[in-house]
Amino acid sequence: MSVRPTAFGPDERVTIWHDEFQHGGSVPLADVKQTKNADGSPNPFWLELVCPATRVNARGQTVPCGSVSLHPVGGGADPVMVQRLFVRAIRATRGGTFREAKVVARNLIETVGELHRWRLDDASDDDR
Amino acid sequence: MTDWTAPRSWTIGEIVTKAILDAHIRDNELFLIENPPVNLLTNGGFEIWQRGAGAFSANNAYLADRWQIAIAGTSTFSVTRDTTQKDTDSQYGALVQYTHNAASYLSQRIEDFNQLRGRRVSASVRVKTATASAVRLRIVDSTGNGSYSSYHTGGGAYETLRVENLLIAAGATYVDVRIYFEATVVNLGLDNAIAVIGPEAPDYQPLHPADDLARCLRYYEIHGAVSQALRCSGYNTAGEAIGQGIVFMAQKGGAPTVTKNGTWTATNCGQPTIVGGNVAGYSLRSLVTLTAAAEFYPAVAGDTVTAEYNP
Repeated sequence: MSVRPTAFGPDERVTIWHDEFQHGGSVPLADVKQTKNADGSPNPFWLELVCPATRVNARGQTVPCGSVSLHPVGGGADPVMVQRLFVRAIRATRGGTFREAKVVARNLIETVGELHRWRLDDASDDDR
Repeated sequence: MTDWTAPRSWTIGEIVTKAILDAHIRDNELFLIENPPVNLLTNGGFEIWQRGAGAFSANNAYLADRWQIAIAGTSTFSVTRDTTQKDTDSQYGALVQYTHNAASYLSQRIEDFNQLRGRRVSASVRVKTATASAVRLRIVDSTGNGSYSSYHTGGGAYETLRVENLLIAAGATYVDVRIYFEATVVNLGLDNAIAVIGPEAPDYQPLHPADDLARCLRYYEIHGAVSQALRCSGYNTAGEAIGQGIVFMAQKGGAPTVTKNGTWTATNCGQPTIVGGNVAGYSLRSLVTLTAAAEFYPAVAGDTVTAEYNP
């Protein structure tokens, strides 16, 4: 599917699985960044997940996987988990409740015309 | 002609005459002529495996294009592309090993659920297993409104499992076709699924391979994978960028997740990054590290860009 979030820990870590290479790991939520536009400015509509795993290259050396997925706020490959990732990332940077972060995420999705992709429960007090 | 969204009802004790039967058959034939079955599923024949031959086992992972694993409890799946257990009229099928803990399934979500609201939907799939009462087909919508087929008998041969005439709820926000696994099975063959609008589930009808692949590309496509494909060369001063725009082979249903896989070969520049993904394509960009000619390209088979959009 991609380098994708599969679970969120209480310690603010994101468990990641990389489908194409069949490996994974976990990263701190703080390491999940917005992508940058060509002029270097942050783009709030995309999050970047870097694969935390290593692999053995053609020379037999263990090296970082080097793979990275860019996930759109609408969800792309995995609407539910990507939207939950956005909610957690928004809450981590802006503070507030999950419900408030969901309002922000929902507005971002509406801005890009993909509100029909919204999968989370506006009324719940968690990120689901 | 009979309105097939409201099948003819029968009265207990009614005498079925030849004229009634003839009319019934005529209406069936006319309906099929005027409404040939169009498969609502993508890759219903399990012919396209862009992600490789497997084995696929992770929860939520996709195997054959558009078919996804959903694991409950501690159940496990291992699904591979298959040329031995496949149905007769097929190039590939899916070979499934499943260890049971809680009912789990392989599923396809139909993208265009809006046009199914208030309509009757039917589906069928071919299954081969020697285990009785282990596998059955289900159509279900987001309201929990659903219907199951009967179980495979476990006779060891291919059987067609059918779900027929399910009315999709007016408020449905998704419609899934699911193959449920409710007991441990080994070497189960899975092939040739179809879902249609209508009260009866027909047998699977194959598409032309070009049409089959074109449908799949709406949801997943791979660029690169061949050495030096996607090569980008240019000249710039250090700190400036080189790059190129890439157009998808098929427009996606929404903004896709775009993944750069692997560590590419890069000369006088950094690793390429993806910029500006949307339904139509994306850009690859890299910052030049030395004022000189610079280039980047995939060096080995795993160096790719994948784009994926799932309903």
